Amino acid sequence: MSFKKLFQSILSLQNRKTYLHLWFVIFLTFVFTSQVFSRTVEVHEGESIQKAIDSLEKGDTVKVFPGIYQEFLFVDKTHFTLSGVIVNGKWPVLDGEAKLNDGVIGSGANFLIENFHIKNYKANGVMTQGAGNIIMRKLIVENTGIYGIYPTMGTNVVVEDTVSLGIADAAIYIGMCHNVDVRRNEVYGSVIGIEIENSTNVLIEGNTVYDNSAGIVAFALPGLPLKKVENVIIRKNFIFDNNHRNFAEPGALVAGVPPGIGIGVMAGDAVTIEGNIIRRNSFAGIGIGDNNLLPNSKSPDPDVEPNPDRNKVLENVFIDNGSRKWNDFVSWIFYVIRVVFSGNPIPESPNGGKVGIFPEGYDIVASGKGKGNCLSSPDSVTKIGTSGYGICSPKESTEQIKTMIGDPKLGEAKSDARELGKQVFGAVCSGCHSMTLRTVGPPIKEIQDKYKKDVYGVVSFASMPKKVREGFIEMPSQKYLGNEKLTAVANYILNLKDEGSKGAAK
Amino acid sequence: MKGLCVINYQYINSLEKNGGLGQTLPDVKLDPKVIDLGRYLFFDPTLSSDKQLSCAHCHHPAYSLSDGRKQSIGKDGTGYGPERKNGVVLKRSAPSLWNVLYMKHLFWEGRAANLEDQAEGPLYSPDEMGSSPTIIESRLNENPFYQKMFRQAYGLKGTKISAELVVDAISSFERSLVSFSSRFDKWSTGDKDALSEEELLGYNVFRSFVARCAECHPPPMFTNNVFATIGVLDSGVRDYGRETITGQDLLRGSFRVPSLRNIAKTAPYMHAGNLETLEEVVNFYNEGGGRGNGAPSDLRIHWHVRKMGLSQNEITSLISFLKTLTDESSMPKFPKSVPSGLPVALELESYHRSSKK
Repeated sequence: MSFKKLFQSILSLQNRKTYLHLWFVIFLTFVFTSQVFSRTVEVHEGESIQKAIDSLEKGDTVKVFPGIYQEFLFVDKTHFTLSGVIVNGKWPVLDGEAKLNDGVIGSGANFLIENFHIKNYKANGVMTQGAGNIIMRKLIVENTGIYGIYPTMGTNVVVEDTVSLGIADAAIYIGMCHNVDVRRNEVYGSVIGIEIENSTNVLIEGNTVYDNSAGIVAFALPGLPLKKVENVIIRKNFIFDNNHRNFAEPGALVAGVPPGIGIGVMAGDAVTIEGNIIRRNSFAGIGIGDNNLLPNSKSPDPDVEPNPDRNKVLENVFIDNGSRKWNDFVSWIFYVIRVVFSGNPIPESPNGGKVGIFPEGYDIVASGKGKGNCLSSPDSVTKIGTSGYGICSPKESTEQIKTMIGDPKLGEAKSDARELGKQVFGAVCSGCHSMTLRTVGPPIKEIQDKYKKDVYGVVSFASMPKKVREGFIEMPSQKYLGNEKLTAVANYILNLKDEGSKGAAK
Repeated sequence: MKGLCVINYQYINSLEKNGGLGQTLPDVKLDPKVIDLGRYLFFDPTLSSDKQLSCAHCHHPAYSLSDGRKQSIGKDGTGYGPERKNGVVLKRSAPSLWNVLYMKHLFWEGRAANLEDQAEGPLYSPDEMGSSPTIIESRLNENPFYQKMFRQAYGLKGTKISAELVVDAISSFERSLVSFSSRFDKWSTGDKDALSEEELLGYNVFRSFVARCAECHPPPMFTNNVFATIGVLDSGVRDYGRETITGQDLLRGSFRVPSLRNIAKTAPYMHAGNLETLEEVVNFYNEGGGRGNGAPSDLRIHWHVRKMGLSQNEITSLISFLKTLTDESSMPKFPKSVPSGLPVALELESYHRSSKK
């Protein structure tokens, strides 16, 4: 490939990204503003937010007014906004009082959560599982046991303008997601500030990350269904004084993270670190290593490639990393005590020996056998373990990539009606109906002959079946599937072609 | 086979779709004739060398396609289910077959990657059915019923019955064993009355991060298809699990994360069945899994398995929720007789149900 061609392809990739971003914005604008018939439900102190959420229809908004709400919210809906209203600087507060498990758990799609102060929950502030096309913004998350803001298994996720503090694991934790932007958040006083775990296409930009044990990390962890962390940009963040005592629960994976790390990459691929200010992190400004880095991370998973590859450290500002202060010593003493008493081995140091009790600090510490890693200005940083690193091209920059958010269809529940029909057929109908054979119910052929193109007829029969044929058992009602699925499957059935021996549901 | 069993998280986007229909179904060629042939083979003891043992002995409808035993009994045993006795005691419990078509690894330690390879395991294992392709082919080719059924199912290809076709038919039958219409599925596809308040609380305990159940058992399949070491004790001889396949000591004692669909019907639990009830399972985890239950120190227990500190109310509701994953509507019909004319594993269903009350 000629240089010109390569350049063009990079350019078109960048255009595509910008274009997708635009698409996503238009899409969300549509979702959140154009619902002419949508309602707004107000919740005032003393009322139940959950009740309001339960009453939501597509496109609705819940507005929660200032006050203290002791609730554990479940959000399993699509296309809605859950919005706090800030009046005279007073926020609506979700308070778990250390009794409730999580602040918000969501698994819907296409929604926005904003303007809440969430505190004192046993597990997470906000967790979403499998939710796509979502925005979490302007949240304050404080003192939640495990994670602060935790989207998992999602596609197209934005976390922006939030503040998280005092979290015993990661304040913002991106777990097994695709296409994520994490922007302009402030995270401090936690074990990990921002953690990206087994996720791809992630942009971490403009965040202020300080006073954590480790600031921003991208880890590929073993034993999970998604096996890598790849294509991550950590850009223009202010990452300083991450020397907090590691107060994770002993035995937890992150309990092995030594304090004093600005940015950590473990087994990550194609992570680009650019334009950050990285200051006064006492162990390493940036640590890049393989899966042997932490006491518990050594990979038993043959599908996880353990080495860091194709990572780039472009121009960043490094100031005073590795310098010692009295409070760093205190956090290291705590760390060593915990490592000794919890039975964790002391993590191996980059050069194969043991990390000393008070190890030297560097701007960049590297370990592992990765390939294709580079530094852009190797002479300007203090470093160890980077002898295998090349020099990044001076032209290298991520500037053209504005967002990682992709096609909103990827974050949508699959809405293709034929696909839905096929799935419902496969899961529900195929047990009793085949194309030409009588199994339990009559063959599809006969249903097609009877109803021709009358989708409604099939839907209404399936909702309220009657006994029609002698010698057949009466079909149970399929009303629970709901109209959308029934219509989809009726369409699917009526248009199904006889594909002979290939079987009915191909 | 590729692509058949992978959960594609891309399609697991909202709970509405999480309830069982949220993932692309595999491109299974559902041919009722082949499935039905597979069903007869599944229940027919003629496939075993001594004509005593059928697949259904260990994967019995009365026990939700498992056998209700801690450890299954293979060769030379008599009887079915928990009553089975006198034979070779196998190392592990028989996993239930529900939704087995979605599993990326089969057997507790994942030694088979597809159903065809799996089926050959017990079929040819000397401790189990002790058969061989020669035995199977000679017996079935002498049987006019099977000759006819194979021809009907496979056309010309079925004129001479081969062991591969037998395995294909059994695997096809197994692929039809789907369970997607539980009350949980009804709830998540829009019927908000399908779950009671207690069950809903249980679901939220399940997915909350105090319990963290949903991390390894995410809907819709309620498994993430990976291996995990939780440190459950072995009933007898030490079981090294996945380590025996990969040789990695870090995987010592790790096993396939099972699906929780129909979990209320498949007691006892874990690879060697040493937890009898769902209560025991939840308590085991609540105490920190192997960490709190004296697991050997050379196990690397999964970092998600930790003391939960659930309240009694949370435990009860969690168990109630697990019961909402029950759906046996695709349970295969028990054949009254099989083409070999050999006796079939008794239709224990009615017996089992009434004896429980």
